[in-house]
Amino acid sequence: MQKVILKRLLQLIPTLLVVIAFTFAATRLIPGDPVAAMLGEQYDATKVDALREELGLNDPIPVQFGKYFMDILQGDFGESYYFNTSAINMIKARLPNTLVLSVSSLCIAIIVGVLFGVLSAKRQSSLLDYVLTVVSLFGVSAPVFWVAIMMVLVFSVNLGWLPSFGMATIAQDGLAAFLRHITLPCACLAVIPMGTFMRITRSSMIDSLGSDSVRALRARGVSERSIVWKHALKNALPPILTVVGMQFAGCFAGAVLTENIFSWPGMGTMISSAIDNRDYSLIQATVLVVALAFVIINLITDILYMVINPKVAIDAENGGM
Amino acid sequence: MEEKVLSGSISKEAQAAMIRKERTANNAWHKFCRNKSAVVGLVIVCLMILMGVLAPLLSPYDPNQINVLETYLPPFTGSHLLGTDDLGRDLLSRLLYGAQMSIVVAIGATVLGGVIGILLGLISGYAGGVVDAVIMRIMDGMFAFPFILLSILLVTILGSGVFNVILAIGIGNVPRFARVVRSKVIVTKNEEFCNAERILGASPLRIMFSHILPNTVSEVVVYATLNIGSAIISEASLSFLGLGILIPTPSWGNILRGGRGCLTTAPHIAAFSGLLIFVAVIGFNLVGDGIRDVMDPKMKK
Repeated sequence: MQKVILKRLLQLIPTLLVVIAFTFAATRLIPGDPVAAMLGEQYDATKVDALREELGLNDPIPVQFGKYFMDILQGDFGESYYFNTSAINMIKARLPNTLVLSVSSLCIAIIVGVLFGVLSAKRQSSLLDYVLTVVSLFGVSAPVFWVAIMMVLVFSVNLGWLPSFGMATIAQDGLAAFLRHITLPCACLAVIPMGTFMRITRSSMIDSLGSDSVRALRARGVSERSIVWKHALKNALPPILTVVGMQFAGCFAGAVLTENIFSWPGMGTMISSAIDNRDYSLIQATVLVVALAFVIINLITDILYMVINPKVAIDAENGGM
Repeated sequence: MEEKVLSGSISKEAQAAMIRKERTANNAWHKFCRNKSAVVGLVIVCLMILMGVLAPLLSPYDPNQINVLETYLPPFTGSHLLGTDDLGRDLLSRLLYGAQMSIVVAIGATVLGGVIGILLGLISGYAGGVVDAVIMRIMDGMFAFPFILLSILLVTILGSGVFNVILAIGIGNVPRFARVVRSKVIVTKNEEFCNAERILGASPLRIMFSHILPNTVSEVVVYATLNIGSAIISEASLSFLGLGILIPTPSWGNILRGGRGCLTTAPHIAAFSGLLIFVAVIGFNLVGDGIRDVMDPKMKK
C-alpha cells in the first residue's frame, strides 16, 4: 500500500507543474495591459516603461516563468497590482469565508442526501422513493445561480425573512446574524451535492440491503432499524465517501457563482473582481490556490479510498491503475 | 432442442409472434421506450430542439425589437405572452432564440471536447508508456482546475462570442472524455480480437480506429448526452457572469442576468429563463440515464 501511495505522490509532481504552467500561460494571454489598468488616468509613456521594467514584464517569457516558479516554491505568490498587497495575504483573508460556506453546505448535503438516500432505498419503488428520486434529479440538474436568484426572490424580496447579500461574523455581529446571512447561500450551494449524495446512497444501499450478510442478519432476528442504519449503511459507505472529495471540490467551485450573487466576501467574488481589474498576480494566485486545493483533495480521497478498500490498492500495485 | 419442443406444441403464427416479441424486448429502442423517465427526457429534449430550430417561425416579435413604451410588462397580459424586459423586448421571442443559442453552444462544445478527448484517450490508452504518461498528466493538470474556473479563464483569454464560448467549454470538456475513453481502450486493447488483428498484421491506426473505437461508443454516447446538460449550465453560468454570450444576442444565461437586476419589478424574467435552463438540463440528464441503462446495465451506478 505504501508503494502505491508513494507512486500516487510522485504522479502529483508533473500534475502540479502542468497546473503552474497553465496558470502562468493563462494570465499572460489575457488581453489587456495590466500596466495600463494599474495607472489608469495617470497613463504616460515614461511611467509605463519604468513600471513594466520594475514588474519584470519586459523580460522574455521563459525568464518570467522561471522567476514565477521560483517565487512559488518560496511561498511568494506575487503582489496584487490593484490592491498593493501580497496576493497570498488577500487569499488568506478571503479563504476562510469560502471554506465556511463550502464546508457547511457540504455537511448539509451529506446529512440530508444520505438520509434521503437511505429512506429511498429502504422503501424501494414506493411513493416516497419516487418523490425522492425526482427531488434528487432536480438537485443534480439545478443551475446554482438560478436557485440562488429564486431563493432571493422568495425569502428576501417577497417574504423579507432573510438578507439577500453580505456576510456577518459571529465575533462582531453575533450568531443569529451570522446564521441569517449564511442560510441562503449555503442552501443554494448544498442543492447539487445533495442530489448526488441521494443518488449514490440510494443505489449503494439497494445493493447492500440485498446482500447475503443482510439476509443473514435478518435470519438472526436483528432489528430492521439496526440492519439498515448500522450494518447495511456501513457496507454502503465506500462509494459515498469517494464522491465526498469531488463534491467538496465542486462546492468550492460553485462558490464562485454563489458568492457573486450573494456578495459573499470569499474567493469567488475576489477572482471575478481580479479579472475585471486585470490583476494578473491575484488571478494567478487565486486560481493556483484553488487548483492546488483540488489536487490535494483528490489525493486525500484516493488514499482514503485505498485505506477503506484495500483491494483497489492491491490492483494498483499489480499494475492495474 | 427447445425450438423443436415449441414447434411441436404451438402453431407457426404463435411461434412467429413469440419471436417478434422477444426481438422487441431486446431491441435497444424498445428498451429505451419502456423506461418512462427516459421518454419524458426525450420529449423535453425534442421540444427544446424544436424551439431552437423553429425560433424564427414561432417568435411573435423580433427578439431585439425595442419598445420603450412597454417595458417590464407582466406575463399573460396583452399581446406579449410572457411579458417584456427592461427595453420592452418580447420575452417569449428572446427565450426562443435563447434556446437556439444554448443548443448550438452545448452541442458544439460537447462535439469539440468529445473529438479531441476521444483522440487523446485513444492514443494515450493504446500507446501506453511515456505517451500515456505525458498526455494523462496534462489532462490531470487541466482536471485540477474547477470546471467553471477553467472556462472563466479561457473566455477571458479568448474573449466573448459564440465561437469562443464553444471553444472555452469544449476545451474544458476534453480531459473528461479522454479519461472515459482511455480506461475503456486499456481494457479493449488486450482482448483476443485485437491480438488476432495484430497477428494478422493490421496497423496500429487500423486497430485503434476500426476495432477499438467502436467498442467505446456506448461509454462515449452516454457521457456525451450527460455532458450536453452540463454544457448548457456552463454556457448559462458564463453568460450570467457577463462573460459568455453578450447582449443583445439573447441567451438564457444573459436573459437571467438581466432579470436578476429587476427582481422586484419583473420577477418573471429571471423565473422563466432559469426554468428553461433547469428543464433542459433535466431532459438531457434523463435521456443520458436512459441510454446508459439500455447500453450497459452494469454501468448503472
